[in-house]
Amino acid sequence: MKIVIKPKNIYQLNKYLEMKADAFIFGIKDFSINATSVVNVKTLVHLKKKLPKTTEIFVSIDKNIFNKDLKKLKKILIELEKIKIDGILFYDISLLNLRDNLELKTPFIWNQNFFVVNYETINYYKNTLNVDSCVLSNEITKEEIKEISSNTNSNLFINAFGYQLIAYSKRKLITSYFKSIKGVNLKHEHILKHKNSMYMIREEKNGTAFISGKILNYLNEIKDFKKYGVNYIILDENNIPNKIFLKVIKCFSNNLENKKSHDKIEFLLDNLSTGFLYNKTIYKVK
Amino acid sequence: MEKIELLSPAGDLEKLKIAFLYGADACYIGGYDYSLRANANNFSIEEIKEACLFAHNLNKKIYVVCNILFHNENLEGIDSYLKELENCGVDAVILSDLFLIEKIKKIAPKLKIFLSTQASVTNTLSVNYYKSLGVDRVVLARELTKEEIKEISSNTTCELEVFLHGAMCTCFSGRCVLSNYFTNRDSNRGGCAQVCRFSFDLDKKRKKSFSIATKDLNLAYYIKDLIELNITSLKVEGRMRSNYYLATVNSCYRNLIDAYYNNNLTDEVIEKNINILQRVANRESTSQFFKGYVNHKDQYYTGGFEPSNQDFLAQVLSYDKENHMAVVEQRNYFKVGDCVNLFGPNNVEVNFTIEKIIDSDGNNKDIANHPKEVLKINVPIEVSKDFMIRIKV
Repeated sequence: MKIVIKPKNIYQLNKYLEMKADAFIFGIKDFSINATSVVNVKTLVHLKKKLPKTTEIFVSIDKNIFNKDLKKLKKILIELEKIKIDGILFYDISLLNLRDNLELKTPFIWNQNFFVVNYETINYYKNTLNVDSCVLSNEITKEEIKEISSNTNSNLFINAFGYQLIAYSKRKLITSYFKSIKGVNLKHEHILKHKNSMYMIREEKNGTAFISGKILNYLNEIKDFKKYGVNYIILDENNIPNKIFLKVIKCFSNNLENKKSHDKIEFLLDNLSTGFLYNKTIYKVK
Repeated sequence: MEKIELLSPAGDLEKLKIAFLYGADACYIGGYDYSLRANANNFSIEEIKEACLFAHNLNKKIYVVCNILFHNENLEGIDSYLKELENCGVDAVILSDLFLIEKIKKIAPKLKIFLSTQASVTNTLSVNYYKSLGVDRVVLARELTKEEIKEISSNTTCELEVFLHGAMCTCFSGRCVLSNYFTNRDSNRGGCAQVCRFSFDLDKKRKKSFSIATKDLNLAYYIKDLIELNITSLKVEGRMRSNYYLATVNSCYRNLIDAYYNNNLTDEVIEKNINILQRVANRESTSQFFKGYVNHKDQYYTGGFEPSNQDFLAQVLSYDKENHMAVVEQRNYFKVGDCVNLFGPNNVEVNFTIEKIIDSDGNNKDIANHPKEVLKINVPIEVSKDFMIRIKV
């Protein structure tokens, strides 16, 4: 099982590697939403040269794609192919159309947020669409993860730590609100409160992201995930102080190596959650 | 050129019949399972069969939604369900989860495959890729402008469906689990709690609550533009909407579409139907992304307040031929002397003044103010069940 980092600091990647991170995911400028860090292809080339050859580099192209994006997207995919990136996490299926037309060999990883929830579709992507890796959605239980793992040969990624995206709108919801109250918006990110719940809302170039109020933490589950056959766990640094995040990585890597950690995540951070792992959602209320 | 399809929602058999009688060319409905409106009445298999018979007798079509994102536990039973739908004569299935494509081709090949707006298709390459997988029609995302739809339509042979009227999601369809996190109700399996209509505080309590609710979509003004985009179908949203809403919306858009094809789409026709449409919903509406951009004027900041519609006055139950009176069920207040509008299937519409109201004991009344009270009133033409009476606009 490998540890994949969504890092904030792209110029100190060695620090993450020292904590036994194995891989990184970077956002691509203009084509990623809610990205922890964003790079262009030129920067990727530079990073690839600096990092050890065993370090995998993934990019996330998860913006909803419109026709006006296609020309630039095509160019980026060709450039990424040239530099032999280890994988592209994608949302929009137009990327598969481009992959086939351009005969790209770069691995594509299905990352359609909330869609990756059953093994039949995962297998469909693998057997019919030639996409043999995917990022499991967070809104499934541990049992479901186990069942998926035992019914597919696809490479499985799981988000295992960090604040998670829970919705995305094309609208500039914060700008609109401040316009309606004739107020001034001084920041990109706000706290969204409803009764006793708190979430984050962040406006960016492509729209508005809604982010979980709690930090997903699967530290105590990863040994089971490894047994199930999950290949990669993703740790997201967004909104986490760097010093603490480095300790978090250490906790995860120690856990995988059956080593005791000096730090406990519960003491480093509050507001942790196992999300829907032990909490099944309902949908029929009558 | 084939006439554009007017596609209506229908939450149950009664609503389906209303939708067809008032002008829909096709209806989309949900079964008890696999639908994103899990808590609507929905249709049993027998009712789906009856719906197909009713529709096909009128040369119209039935599409069934199987548009949830399947969890492992939902996979059981889908094979037999698809076969049953095919046996019922269903014309197409609307899906979001791609594994169904191969299943349908194998198990129920007579069913056409439509891809739900949940897939948030926003570009030509995606449309064409889905078509190559076996999808017959794509329901485009509601975030597209007129120009963007035109560009897609010009570069594909896939059937395209565009939303015409009704509620909007705040976020990209399929890219939202706010309901899961706020209420533990799964938005992608039919349990959406419409969190986007809640009121929030942004950082702190302010005079005006923070809202992410959107106004409804209403493209009546753009009917000519829509038809000339060369798309297949115009979709009305709302499987949980009332009979009155469906009758009104379908008849208005039927009027507009037919006026276009009869070269009779005048400003007067447009204004009249827009006026009625704006009154039937309990929310304001705009053309949203279609016009090219959205801003705060497309959002709703009422703190969740949505006034109920008062226009619907009565539902006709039957007709007393001898006395030229309609037996009606009261829905909102009306009185003797009110000038009202009687409308019915096949674009029948007439204004008249209420001269007489008689209750079930045979007593004359001046006012009708008891909800669902059964009354008799004078009407100027012969009517039948499914006619309705509303405020004259």
